[in-house]
Amino acid sequence: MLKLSGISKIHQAGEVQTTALDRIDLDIDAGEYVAITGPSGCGKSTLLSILGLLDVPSKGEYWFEGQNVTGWSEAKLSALRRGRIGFIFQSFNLIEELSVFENVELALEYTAMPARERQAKVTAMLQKLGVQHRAGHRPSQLSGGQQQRVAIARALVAGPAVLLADEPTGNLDTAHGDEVMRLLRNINAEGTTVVMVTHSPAHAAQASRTLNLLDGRIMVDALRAA
Amino acid sequence: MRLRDFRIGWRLLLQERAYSAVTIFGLAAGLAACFLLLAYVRLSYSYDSHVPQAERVFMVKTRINSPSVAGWYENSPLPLLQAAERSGLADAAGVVLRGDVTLRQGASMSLIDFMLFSPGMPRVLDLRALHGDLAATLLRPDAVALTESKARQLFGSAAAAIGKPLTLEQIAFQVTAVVPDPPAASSLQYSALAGIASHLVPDKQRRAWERSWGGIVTRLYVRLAPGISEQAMQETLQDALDHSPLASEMPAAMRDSLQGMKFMEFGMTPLRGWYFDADLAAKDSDGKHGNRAQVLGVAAIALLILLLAAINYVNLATVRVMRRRAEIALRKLLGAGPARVAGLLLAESMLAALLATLAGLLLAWLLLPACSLLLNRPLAAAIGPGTILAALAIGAATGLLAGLYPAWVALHVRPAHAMAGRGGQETHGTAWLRRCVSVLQMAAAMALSATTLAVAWQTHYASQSQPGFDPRPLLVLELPVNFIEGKAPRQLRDALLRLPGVEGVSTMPAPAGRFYLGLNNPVQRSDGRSVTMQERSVSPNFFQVYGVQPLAGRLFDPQREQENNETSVMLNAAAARALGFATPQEAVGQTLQITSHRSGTTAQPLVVGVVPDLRYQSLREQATPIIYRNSLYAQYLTVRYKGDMAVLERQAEALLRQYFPDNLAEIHRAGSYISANYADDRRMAGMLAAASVIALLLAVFGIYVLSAYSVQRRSREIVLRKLHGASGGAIARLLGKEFGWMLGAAALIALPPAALAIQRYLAPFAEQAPIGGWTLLAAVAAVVVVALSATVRHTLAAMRLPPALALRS
Repeated sequence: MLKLSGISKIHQAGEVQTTALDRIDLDIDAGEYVAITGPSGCGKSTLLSILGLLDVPSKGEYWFEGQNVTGWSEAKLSALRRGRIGFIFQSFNLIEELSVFENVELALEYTAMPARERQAKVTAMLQKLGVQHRAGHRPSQLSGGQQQRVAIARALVAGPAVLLADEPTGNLDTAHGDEVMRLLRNINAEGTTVVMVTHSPAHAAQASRTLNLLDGRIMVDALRAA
Repeated sequence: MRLRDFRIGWRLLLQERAYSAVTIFGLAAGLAACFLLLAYVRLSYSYDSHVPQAERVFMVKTRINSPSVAGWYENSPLPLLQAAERSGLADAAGVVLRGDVTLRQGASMSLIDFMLFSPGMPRVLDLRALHGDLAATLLRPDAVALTESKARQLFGSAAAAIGKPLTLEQIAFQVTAVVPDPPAASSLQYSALAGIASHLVPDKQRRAWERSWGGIVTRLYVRLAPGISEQAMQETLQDALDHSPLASEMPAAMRDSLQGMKFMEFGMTPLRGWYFDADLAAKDSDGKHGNRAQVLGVAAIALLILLLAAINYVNLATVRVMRRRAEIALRKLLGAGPARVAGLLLAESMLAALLATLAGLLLAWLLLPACSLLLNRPLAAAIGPGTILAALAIGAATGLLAGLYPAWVALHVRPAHAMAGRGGQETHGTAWLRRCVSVLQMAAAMALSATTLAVAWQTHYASQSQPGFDPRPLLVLELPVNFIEGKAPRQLRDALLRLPGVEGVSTMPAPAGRFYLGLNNPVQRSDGRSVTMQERSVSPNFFQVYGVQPLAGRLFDPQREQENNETSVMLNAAAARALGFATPQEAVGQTLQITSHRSGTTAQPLVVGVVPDLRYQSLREQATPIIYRNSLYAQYLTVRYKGDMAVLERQAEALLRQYFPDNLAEIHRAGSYISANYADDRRMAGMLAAASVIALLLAVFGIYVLSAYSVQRRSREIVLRKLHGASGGAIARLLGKEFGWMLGAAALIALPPAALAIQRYLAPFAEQAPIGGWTLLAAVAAVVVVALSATVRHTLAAMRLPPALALRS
């Protein structure tokens, strides 16, 4: 489903060159649950950006669902992202000026879906994640766990093929973190490909495959024993 | 506030020089505009304040109730002076007659603004000579007094002028006194004075004035005795008129036309109230009077501009405070209490405001000449040490008040949050407050722009509208003497006719566009119906020269009507209607009876034709009934010319010098007299335009800052939307929506009062330009363009925000 071939990402700041990713080859099949680990600055977020079509590699090719998206314009990438990729962040990234309902609806706002259908999908997703009763509230009125569930609802409401999670439990306590991990397992069980960046070995162990990065290179690519 | 706070403020200003320069300059521009406009207001309210005990000094104004010339006038009959002096109600009474006099010095000639004072006038004004004897000067027919600056200009020093000869109007005079210059804010402006008995006034003329109760030629002033009311004086003067020959010898027809009203009534204008006297302003074509409502409007605009500039400053200062949250938090962590934090912010604000005040004063000083020209007022007279101190006080107060909100924001910075890098956004309420003030800025710009466009459009329309004839081929020459006096005027006319390109030369009493009271006599139909109307004496070829065609009958025919043959007359359409003729044709062939109020004689001329109403005044006046008489008693020549008018002007000037070597040539294009009626309107349009430009600039500034802050505040939201597939256009529309509703709100606030102001401005005009609503739409469009230009940079920046930023905290 996702294929990276010889991907490198080099950042240039003045005369200083930094290699964030170094000749990455990676295949992720549909329905996989992949955890990416590594120390700070190893290239985890950069890898996630490229997988999420948010950043373009300096070298190599990226195939997304059979299409070579290397060299595509931002407009084309944006259109491809729409509804195909969901994102979950460590800091939730909910918009304070919008209600919970509107935050989730944001993911469908730029599709061609009619308003009524959009609202029905949002309502269903909020119910599924158990935050329907907070639909009219602002994000700051929710607990951390509830905010992350809303963020997950936003990531899933369009029915994405891939869910990218960047340290989804980083700002949560243990109980809420476990709850989020349980949600991710369920999402994956329903068929969504999940790629998660995490610092937690325990959470990484819940994935079916673990990639360990160091200095922009994949050092370990391990499948969890069934 | 401590001295240290000002030092820190100074360092902060230097640290971000560009930002500080923009902040200070914006406030300076607003302060400069405010200072200049308030100087105008101060000048307007300070007229004649130099006269001691001015509350006891009054000018007598005259109201004429005859329908064709009804209105208030500054002048009154000369015999009234005696009535005032003998009444026992005044400490002093005097009359003033103003005119421009030709001064000859060697080969050069110039015009000098002159006033004739009766002997009692200096006591009315408490005017004393600096050198020489003013009282004696006013009694001698060959003596003049010069103002101090005029004496210096002509003779090098004031004292040196005493005893020196002067040639005025070809008559020899001697300088026997030097008086102080009248202040700029004075209703009486002159460079030289002489007495009523001066040789400048022919004896015959003076005797006629002294006898005539119907001729209003001089301005009468009285200094009332203590305890005497102006009403008592007014009644005494009215009584004197009611018992005068004017009242007892008035023709019955004229009395009937007054319908019970007196022909002439008097009013008492306080000397300090002369400038704003609305009655007198109505007949003021030179723009000497002010309009109180307009002046108060100017004051309101001045304060509005200051408010807009202060709002901009507050916006910028607040943004700066938000950027210094960490510093403010640290100060609080180290023990700074609310008073110290607030003091720091207020000191910075006052420092910036004081710098802006100094820059504003400098800017105002540089713009003073242009502003004085624009407003037609000597604004420098209103500026002195006191005004500068007041300006500094305004600047300091502005700084203090404008610093309150940033100080309040700083007081609400939470140290723990700020040190952890959290927060940094305004509260909901303050974000709305910021939007509301931006709406106010846009509304002010819209309202001012709409009003400016309407005033400018009406002024342009009025200046360009033809007054019933095409003024472009016409040149007007003012004769130093009446046409019937001597040979020189006829010789001049004949010489003009011989010039190539000249198609005709006619005479008239006054050009269109210049105020002319003239003779007003009752004109009666054969059935007894009578209307008092203005008489205009014109040469037989007058209408041909002006290119006017008759509505009925024929024009005066130079072949048929000899000059000065008053057996035929012409009426304008208003006169025909006033006399009750159903159509112009009905008036042709009718015999009228005209009784001269002055001589008592009656004439019975025949109406040979009716012409369209020619507009002799501005578009503010309706056409008045006029009867045209075939007479050469005139002061002006009009030349109809085919060719380059500049060539004719040179040739005409040369001929005037040839036939009148002792007089300055007064030559003007016919259109310039008409255009002069709208000088005040042009000034107002200019002032409104300047205020609109400042308001628009301040609005641009405010919207630019708001746009920057909006993008910064919503950067996370913008990035997330892009993450979820929003295109650049969708982001632009998102940001545009915020400013869109603000523009809509501004339009709702601004357009109704602007429409009302435009309606009130246009109401006095008898003819209005087809303005409709386009000025309002244009103003909205201008502000939309301004808003788009102010937001485009940050909108483009927002559209370019990379969605990958979402993955960074």
